[in-house]
Amino acid sequence: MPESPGRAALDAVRLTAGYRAQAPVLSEVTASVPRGGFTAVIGPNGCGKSTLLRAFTRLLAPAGGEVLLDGRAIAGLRTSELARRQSLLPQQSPVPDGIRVAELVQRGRYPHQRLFAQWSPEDEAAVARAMELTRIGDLADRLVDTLSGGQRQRVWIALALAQDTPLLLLDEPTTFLDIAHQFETLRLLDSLRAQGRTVVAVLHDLDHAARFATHVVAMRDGRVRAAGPPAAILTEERIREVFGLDCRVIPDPDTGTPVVLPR
Amino acid sequence: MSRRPGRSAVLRLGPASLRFSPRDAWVAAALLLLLAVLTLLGLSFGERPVSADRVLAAFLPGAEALDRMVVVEWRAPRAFAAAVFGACLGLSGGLFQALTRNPLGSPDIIGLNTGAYSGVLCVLLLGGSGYAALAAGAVGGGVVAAALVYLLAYSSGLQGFRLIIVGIAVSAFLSSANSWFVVKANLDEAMRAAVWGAGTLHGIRWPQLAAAGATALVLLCALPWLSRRIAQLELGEDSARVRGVPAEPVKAGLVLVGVALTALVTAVTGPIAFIALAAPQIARRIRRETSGFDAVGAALVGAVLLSGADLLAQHALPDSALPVGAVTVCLGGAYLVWLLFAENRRS
Repeated sequence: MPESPGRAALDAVRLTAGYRAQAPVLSEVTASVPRGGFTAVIGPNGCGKSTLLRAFTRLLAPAGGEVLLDGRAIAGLRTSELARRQSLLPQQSPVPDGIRVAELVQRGRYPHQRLFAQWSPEDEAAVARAMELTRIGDLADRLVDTLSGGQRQRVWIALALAQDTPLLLLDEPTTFLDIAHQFETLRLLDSLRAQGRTVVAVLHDLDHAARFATHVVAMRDGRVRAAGPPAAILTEERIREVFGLDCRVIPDPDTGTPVVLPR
Repeated sequence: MSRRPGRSAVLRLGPASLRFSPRDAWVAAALLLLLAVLTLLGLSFGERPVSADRVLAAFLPGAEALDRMVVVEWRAPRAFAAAVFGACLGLSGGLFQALTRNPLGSPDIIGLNTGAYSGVLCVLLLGGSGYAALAAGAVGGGVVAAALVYLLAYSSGLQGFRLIIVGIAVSAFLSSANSWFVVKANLDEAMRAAVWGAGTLHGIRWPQLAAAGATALVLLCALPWLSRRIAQLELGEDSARVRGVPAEPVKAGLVLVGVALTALVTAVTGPIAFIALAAPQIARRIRRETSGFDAVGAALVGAVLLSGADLLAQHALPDSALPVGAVTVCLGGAYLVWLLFAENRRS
């Protein structure tokens, strides 16, 4: 199941993790994130998807096992180095009062700045690039508070992109969006992957995972049940096993990717 | 990009660069001017009025001896203390409001002043007297109250709202303990406690101002470091941590600097309420355009408020001088009512 460590951007090795005074949420999870791919983490609510992302980004210290970033244990990395190599878009983020789009995106440059080097030409370029990729250049002077949900999500993604990391992790990036904005966001992630970034996203919609992911990690009860290419994972038996859902899986008439039809 | 995003300007010197907002710079200049006017008024008003030109001359060599005595020795420490202490209180309030993300999060609301008062009462009841003993009592009481609030509010991380609620509770508890102490104390001690508890800039001399000012300067060194991290914490803790900001140590540092800034003022003057509460919010409304923790604005507005309040305290009533604490409580009460209405309308 796990790829050879040399090809993976991130590896969880027999990872056990959880929150204080509770049974561990993840038990002995071994999973890997292929470099340059779009990895979708799927599974029922409470199966440990978000917890896996938190362990991947060292927000949560594992009780056992370890996380490897490009083959090296993240526990031993310097915080500033980790921040230049991976960024995370949490499920929800507070919007500071009165903040404008450009200012928010600029804050993503923090790991690259020093007290006496607050704004380098590289900072300027990275912010411009992030805003261009997410097509929010026109919104630069708008108050974030006044944006629609879809626009706001693009701003948050731009914040993560401004950090300019090869690895981008997103916790349910499509959950609060309407269907058009969901696809817009997924296409954006797909284009980021095509440009060479490694993308990891927790997704709820299996059709989205089927259509956009290059690698799927299916979790249940804090364990990885299956991992591999979408066509191999999104099958009727696997979905029954992971979600307890009876369904038919048919190929998408246009793309040929699996489409899940619950029964 | 034609417009520079965020309306900021950048100063470059080799590899070093500093970013600031031109609008903020204008606001700061205007506030500084206002502060200079208030300070000048403070130096010239009084039983023996001194005109503005003679005020400036009094600081130069060859000044008339009486002018020098009145302006430099008597009035200047008080006027400068109003500016310096106001700035410290404004900053302290700004730090606590950034930490709690709540306009009510300020050192006077979460019990630091009440704690300082308890400390002073303990010193008085134990027979201590003199400036140094009372100052030590005030700092000790404030720090103990802060530690108590911090520990009681801490539960796998520090949460702003919890901090405020716990602070209000600790404050209520301490203030009832204070009342009990005052009732139990003998008349002389009770009088001295009441005088200290009113909060005044009366009788401040250069040595006290110098000591407090030097402490404040040391604390100011932490601000640029803290400010950059506060801007990250505003975007959510997970997000900040992934960008390399150690959230809990930064928040503890924020509490520490905020407590120290309040304590150094309270030790000299007694509790002066509401400057810390109001200054950062007023600064935010003046700036309008940008967000984030604004140390310069909070400090300057605090300095202007306390200087203005002290002028009122000295000269508003023709025959009697008020303690400045009484004036700030009145102004602050009105401000608090307005704030509650404004926030209510907004939500």
